[in-house]
Order: sequence, then C-alpha cells, then structure tokens
Amino acid sequence: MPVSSDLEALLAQCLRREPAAQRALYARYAGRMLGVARRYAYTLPEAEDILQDAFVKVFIRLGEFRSEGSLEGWIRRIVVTTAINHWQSGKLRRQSQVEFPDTQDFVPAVSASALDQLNVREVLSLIEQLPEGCKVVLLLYAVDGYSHSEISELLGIKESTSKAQLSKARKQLLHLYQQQNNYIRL
Amino acid sequence: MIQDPEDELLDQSLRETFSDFDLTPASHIWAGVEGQLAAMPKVPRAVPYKLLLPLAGLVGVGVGWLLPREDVAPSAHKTEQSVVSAKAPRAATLQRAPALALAPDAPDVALRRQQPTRSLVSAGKGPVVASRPAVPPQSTAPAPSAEVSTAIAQQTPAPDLTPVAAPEVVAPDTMSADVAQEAVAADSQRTLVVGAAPQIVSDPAASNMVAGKAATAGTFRPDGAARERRTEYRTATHRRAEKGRSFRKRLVHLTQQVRHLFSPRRSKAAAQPDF
Repeated sequence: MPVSSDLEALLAQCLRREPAAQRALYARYAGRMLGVARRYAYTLPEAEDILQDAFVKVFIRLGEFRSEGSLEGWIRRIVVTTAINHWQSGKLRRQSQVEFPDTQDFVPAVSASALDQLNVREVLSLIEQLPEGCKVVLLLYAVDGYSHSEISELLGIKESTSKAQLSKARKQLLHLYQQQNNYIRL
Repeated sequence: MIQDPEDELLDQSLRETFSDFDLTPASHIWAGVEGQLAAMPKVPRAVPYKLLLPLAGLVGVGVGWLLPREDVAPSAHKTEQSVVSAKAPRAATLQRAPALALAPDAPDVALRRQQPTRSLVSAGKGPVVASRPAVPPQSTAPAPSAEVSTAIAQQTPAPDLTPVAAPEVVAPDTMSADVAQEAVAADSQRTLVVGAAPQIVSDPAASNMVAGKAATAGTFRPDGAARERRTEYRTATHRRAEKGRSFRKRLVHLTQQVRHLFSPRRSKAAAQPDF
C-alpha cells in the first residue's frame, strides 16, 4: 500500500524532528500499536512501556522507512520486536503462576471456530494462560503472520522448535477454552 | 507444508479477533516518548551551501580588496618612466651630439652616457672638471662607471684631437652659442678634457671595461630611454593607505579619527587640571 501524500508530508515533517508532526503520527497509530503490545504483555503498564520504547525507535529510525510497504506494518514490526526484546530481557512477568496441563494426548472436543464466539478480552485471557514460549510463537505466527524461519531468527530458536511450540499452543488454547466452557456450564 | 484445516481455522479466528483490537493510550506515554526524543542529540542541520559559497566568495573578494595591491608600484614606475621620457629628448641631444662630433665610430652605450659630463664642462660655467651631470640621475650611469671613465680619460691624453665642434652642439638651452664658443676657446684645459672623450672611445680595453660595468648596472637603451628593469629603488609603501582607492582612504581616515578621539593624550589634555 503506497503512502498517501498527506502521510508523506507528515513523514517529511517527522524527519525534520518537528514535534507537532511527531505527535500527529503517534496519535494516528498509538491505539492500534498499544493493542499489539498488549497481546505480548501481561498487563497494560507493560504494554505501555513497550509502546513508548517502540515509538522512540520509530522516530529515530524513520529515515530508514521505505515507502514500498505500509507505514503501519513497519511500525507494527517495530512494536513486536520491542515486545520480544522486553520479554527476552525478563521485563514481562506473569502475574500468577499457572499450572499447564499435559496436552500431549489431548483431543479437542470443540471446533477451532468456537473461539469466534469469544470477545477479545476472553481470548486474551486464554492466551495469557499459555506458556510464555507457546504464547509468543502463537501470536507471532497466527496473528502477526511471521513465518517459522522469521520466528526462529527473532527468538533465536530452531524452526522445529517453533513449529512444536505452535502446535502445543494451539492444543493448549483449545484445551483451556474447553475447560473454561465446561466450568461455565457447570 | 500442508496445514491442518482446524489449525488454519484457529489462526483465522485469532486474527479476526485481534484485527480491530485498539486501546486508548494514556497521556503519559507520549510525554515519555517526547522526553526521550528531546534528550537525544539534535540532527545536524545540512550546511546551506547555496548561501555559504557566495558568502565565502564575497568575503574572499573583500579581503582581496583590502590587501595591498601590486598595481601601486607599477603606477609609480610608470610615473618615473614618463618623467624620464619627458626629459629624454633633451638628454639625448646633450649626449648624442658630442659623440657624433668627436667619435662617430663609437657605438658604445657606456661611453655615450659619459658625454653629458664632459659637455657641461664645455659650457664654461667655471672650473668644473667632469663631476656634475646635466641630465637627471635616471639617465646617468652609476657613480663607479663614471669614475672609471674619468680615470681612463686622464690616463690617456690625446693631443691630436680638435675640441672645437663639440661645444656648439652641446650647449644648454639657456646659453647662447657665442658664449659657449668663447668659453671653450678661453679654457684650453677644459677643452682638452673634453677632447679626451674620443680617446676613450678609441681604446677598446677601456670601452670593454666600461661596458662591462654598465652591463652589470643595468641595461640601457641607446637612445637614452628608461631602463627596462629597476632594482635599485624600493617602492615606498608606508603611505600607500593614503593613496588607495576611496574605500581604503575612508577606512584609514576613520581609523585615524577614532584613534585621535580615544587616544590617551587627548584624554589627558581634556581632563581637568589637578589642583
């Protein structure tokens, strides 16, 4: 998607470090990018930290942006990378210890499309119950569209590990959904 | 890689769930971003070459204008040359005539330069013996060569020469020809001295010696015009600022006025007497 003319002008002003233009660019993408950061973080303050660091990087490296792709996709990648860095540095902490069930022999009784009935908060709470590695790989692959090679490069793991983590994450997610559904029914 | 359709559905469901997941950021996030950006060093501004280059050129021209120029010296040299050329015809008359009359076969330049010295002697202004030139200094030879020629002339007497023709031609403008003739006839000693000139010319060793001296002193034109190169005199530069163009002259004037106004002597003079 080519960058529109008004966005080009905004980018040019941001390159000149004009505060008003920087604020306008931030206001344009901050809400969506906070949602991205919130997926990887466990709390909102952590997500806000990720967002702040990510936008600082955006303004610093704005000169490296080529108009071939979309600016939103470029900023999104920066936010995701920043979130991964936060996770790897140990800044992202799970609030409570969760016991992960053994899902090796688990056969989901629900369809994958069953998650469509849940809203964002409910899906997010399910994802937060996943093991950290599984959660990150699932989000990177399923939501943000990274390939296994990209994930392996980003996380510093093998591609096979990434695939295994993804498979495990899917099963656990459905298992968690099924558990939650049964609990609600009961 | 063939993916399980169930997995594909799950991914699709997650993607759709989070596709419009927006959150309203708190205001302190932007404050933090702004603070971090302000703490970073500013981007160095590009050098405005379009402005800088003409400015540099202008400064260069201005500095070049204020520097002392070489065209002052050539103008002074030109003035000297014009003075010389104005006096040259008279000097040439004084020089050429005796040489032609007394030594027509002597083309030596150095000897021609000696002629005015002897021609004045023949003017009869007193017992002067070849010491004062009638021509301004620029057309006369340097002192050593004149002394050499005089010494040679005294060493080689020439009794067989007739010193009659020379005074007629060489007489200065202010004197009449009769007075000059009388003076020549009255003083035989002086005519003898005058008559010694052709002998100098006829002596090849002496002429070579004098010519060598003259060559070392500078190159002279046969018609007595100004020399091509002058290395003897230094161009005066200490008053060049007063002779400059209007800008420099005004600048010097202004500087002098300021110096005059703020000089310590003036402040002492203007101060009240100390009782």
